[in-house]
Amino acid sequence: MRILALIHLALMAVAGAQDPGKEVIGKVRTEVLFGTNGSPESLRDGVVPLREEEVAKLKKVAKLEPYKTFVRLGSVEQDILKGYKSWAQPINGSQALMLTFQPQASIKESRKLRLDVEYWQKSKMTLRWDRVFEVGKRVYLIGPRWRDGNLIVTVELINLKSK
Amino acid sequence: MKNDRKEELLTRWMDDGLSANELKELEPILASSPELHEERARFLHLRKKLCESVPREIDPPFPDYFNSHLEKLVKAESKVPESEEGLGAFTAFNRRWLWWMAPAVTCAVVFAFLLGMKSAQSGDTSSRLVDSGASSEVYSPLTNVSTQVILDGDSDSTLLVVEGLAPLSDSDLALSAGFFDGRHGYYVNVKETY
Repeated sequence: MRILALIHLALMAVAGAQDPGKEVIGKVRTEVLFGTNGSPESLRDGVVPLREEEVAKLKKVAKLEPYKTFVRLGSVEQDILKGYKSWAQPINGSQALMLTFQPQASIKESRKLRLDVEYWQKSKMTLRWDRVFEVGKRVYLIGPRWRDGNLIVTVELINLKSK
Repeated sequence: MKNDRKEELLTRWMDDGLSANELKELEPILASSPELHEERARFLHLRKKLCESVPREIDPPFPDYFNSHLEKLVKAESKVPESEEGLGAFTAFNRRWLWWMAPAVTCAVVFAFLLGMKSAQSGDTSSRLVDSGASSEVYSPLTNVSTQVILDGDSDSTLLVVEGLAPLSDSDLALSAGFFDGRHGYYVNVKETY
């Protein structure tokens, strides 16, 4: 039985090695933020307050200006595979907010990558964004309303493997 | 009698074009509508007046001139030998024509291509371009969704403001479990899927 399992694992490893699409080319971080005038305590466990600089940046947007409190509800870091579409689920247990990432072009500059990002809301593809992402530069998607506030989805390319 | 047949017989009766059998066929109608005789008399009178006022035959103006002129042109065309001078002039004309036409045709093709691209983008409701800027394009299949791209120069970050999204409820975000970092998700092989 053990021998069979080892053979199976070996075959899987060989198959993985033969698939050039599984090459990891970078890593992306997706977060869900929440702007509200309510108390963060009502949001239960797991919420993290945002840094002041980030709050100041968000409050520049007219739609988010009225909110006093900004917290992070969830976060996920995920590898970007060369030939695969990666699905990110930033809030644990919820499939209402999901994002996909698909690399669109080979890396032409050391810190940039063109990604086709899809925003899925309640199992429906709602938005597709074709964009060049740069390592360390965050992109904010000011998304749907929730309770008395607004949800914000952030996408950040946190590293990129050079060829 | 059917209406179509009745109309046909009446029209031809007005023009004196009925045979004896057809006249017999029409007699019951004429008997039931005696005013038709008066109408026919008025029509015949009007026709007679018109014939008297307009000449029966009018010759086209100067038909001989046109015929003879055409004949002359045909003869002259057949007599002129195809000299090299004539061919040269024709070739020069063609060359001038090409000089003018080549850029015009190129512009027309480029314009048609761009127009086609634009109409393809706007016509397709299932994939609507809602915004573009800063080397990126945003599409949404939903007609009520609009976006605005804001570039924040101070922090060198990009904000995409999306309007028209449906609000979410507590159950959508699985609030009962509390907020913790999400799973790593999963991967779909693009080559096999599409």
